[in-house]
Amino acid sequence: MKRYWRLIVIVTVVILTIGAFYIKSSLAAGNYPEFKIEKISGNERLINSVILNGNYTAGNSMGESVKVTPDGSEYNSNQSFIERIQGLYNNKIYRLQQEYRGFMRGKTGSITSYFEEEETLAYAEVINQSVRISNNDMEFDIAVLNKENDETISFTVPVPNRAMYTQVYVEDVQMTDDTLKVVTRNFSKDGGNAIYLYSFDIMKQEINEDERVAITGENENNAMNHLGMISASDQTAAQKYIIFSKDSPDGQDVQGYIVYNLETGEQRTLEPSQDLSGDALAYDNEYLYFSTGNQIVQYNIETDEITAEIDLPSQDTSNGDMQRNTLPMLHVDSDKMYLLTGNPGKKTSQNIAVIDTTTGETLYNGQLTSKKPIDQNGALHIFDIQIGS
Amino acid sequence: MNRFTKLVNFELSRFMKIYLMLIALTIIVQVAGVIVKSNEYMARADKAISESMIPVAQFVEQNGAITFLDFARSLWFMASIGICAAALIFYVFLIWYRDWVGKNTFIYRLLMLPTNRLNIYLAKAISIVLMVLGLVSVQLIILPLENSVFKWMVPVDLRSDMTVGQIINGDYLSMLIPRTFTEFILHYGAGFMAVSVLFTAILFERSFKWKGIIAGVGYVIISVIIFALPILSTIFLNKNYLYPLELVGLEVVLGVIVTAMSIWLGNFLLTKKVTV
Repeated sequence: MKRYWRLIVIVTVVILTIGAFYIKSSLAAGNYPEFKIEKISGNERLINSVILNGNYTAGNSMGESVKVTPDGSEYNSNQSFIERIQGLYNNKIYRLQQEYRGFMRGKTGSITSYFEEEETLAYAEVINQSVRISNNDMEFDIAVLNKENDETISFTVPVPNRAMYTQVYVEDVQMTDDTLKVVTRNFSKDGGNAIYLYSFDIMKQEINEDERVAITGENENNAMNHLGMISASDQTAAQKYIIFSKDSPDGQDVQGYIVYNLETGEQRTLEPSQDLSGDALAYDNEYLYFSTGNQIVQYNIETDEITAEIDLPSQDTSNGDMQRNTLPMLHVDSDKMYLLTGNPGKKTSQNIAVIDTTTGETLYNGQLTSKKPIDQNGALHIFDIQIGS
Repeated sequence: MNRFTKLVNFELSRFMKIYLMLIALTIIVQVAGVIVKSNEYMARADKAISESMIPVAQFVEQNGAITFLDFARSLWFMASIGICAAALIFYVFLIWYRDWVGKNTFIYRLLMLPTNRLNIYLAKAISIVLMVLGLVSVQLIILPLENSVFKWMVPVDLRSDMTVGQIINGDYLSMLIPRTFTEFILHYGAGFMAVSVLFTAILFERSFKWKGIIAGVGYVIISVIIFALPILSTIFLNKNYLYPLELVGLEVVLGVIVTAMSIWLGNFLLTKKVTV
């Protein structure tokens, strides 16, 4: 035995150290603060299925992604390897992958590429675009799944005038009957970009209409103004409109909104006014939601009037923070609005409220709390409100 | 079995002096790095606070509190790990070639041993793996010590503390010490595969000399292509057909195939073809 001491020492040290490290890291909860949603007032049941997806950073580390629920928080680092690599996708895409495994195979693209209804799941993405090759092969990759009979129609169509563009990005997909409408942002080689709407006939498997909805540089004063897409609260749901903002070149001031009716093809511009000021957060069918700083305004774009004004919980500005407060985060789910306010970090707490969009009544009010005080440089950044798994 | 243990122990003994030097170097360089970097930061803080009369809190706000990652990302750390990695990669070759050099070529005696020649191959491979894991363990042992040195050097209001787990997960160290044991097995399994491929390439050269170099390089290229097949196909088809878990499963299977092929070929060359 004595002759083998080198081997014995190395093997023992390796097993003890590495073993201890993995046993310890599986027991310790990573030493990150444990967050949860604590009720202040209202009906707790409303928040049961809420998941807040975020990232916790301490110091200058890369941060840890975390899910916060009413019961507690789950950090990415505490997940097993298998759980983690399956969670690489957006939550909604992951759910679609689980439910429609065959249809979703090989599909890339972000959540804006998908459209889901009770009977249909549609997908549109522009493939064959990369910096390496010239983009003359850009194609629409279209697939539509009929959930009832499990039949898939899929085809590819070249992007019209594709030689003009450097990149085409799918902003939204909508479908009515056999017509698939794809809203894209096309970056052209001369540096500008434009919003296009392509309509596909699913049965004939071809493009039957393409239309340029808006282009940067149209505005006479600001040749290079910027078009910001306002995202629908549920990006895969059916919507009657698409809305985007005409921003000043620096992206700071909104000079108006373009509302495009997908059914009629009509387009109109909403000019900023007393009623229409602040930062647009999201829209859901005919309702556009703004934040004015201390209120959330629900604006009906069909009747052009404010339908509800909801006061935000007062924010602590006593720390003399000259920075603009973080925009509230909004998720609309049928007639309920989930609202997250407050700045990440220790200075102000983050609040979550559930508000009835028809009456403006606050049904629930809660606060993100952590068991132990969070580190002075630590901050929890929430980037998504998710309802249900 | 006993023969095999003896061989492993023997291989370890032959590299022990350099190995211990590597460990000593790692400890000295890293601890020195912690001290130097802390002093630099403290000097900067002292200057700002005493000369420019900036309050501590404001200094931290402007410059950021120092964290352990400031060392982990410094040359002190990276160089020490890099030197150890380079030394072990070099030794993958040396562990074979040293047997052929010298007056009494040692490989004679090794090959004359009344044991299966596969044992010689595996003993060398296991020794490399053990030495890699040994260095990783040393890193794991000295990290908390270095973290204490850091806390002792920098006052609490200038630093932001991290646990050893956070330090490892927060940066490139997670390549060496992955988060979960599953990944640990996968990373070092891939490492073992790479060692076996290189060993077999070396034995090609030892068996057929000049022509063997071409065969060896060719063998490495074929192995890389087989292992990277799923990734290469994604690049060429521009489409990702596999779900992540399927991809991992396929890679494990391909990795096992490449490793088995390398060991089998290595054994064949060592038994039938190798020339002294």
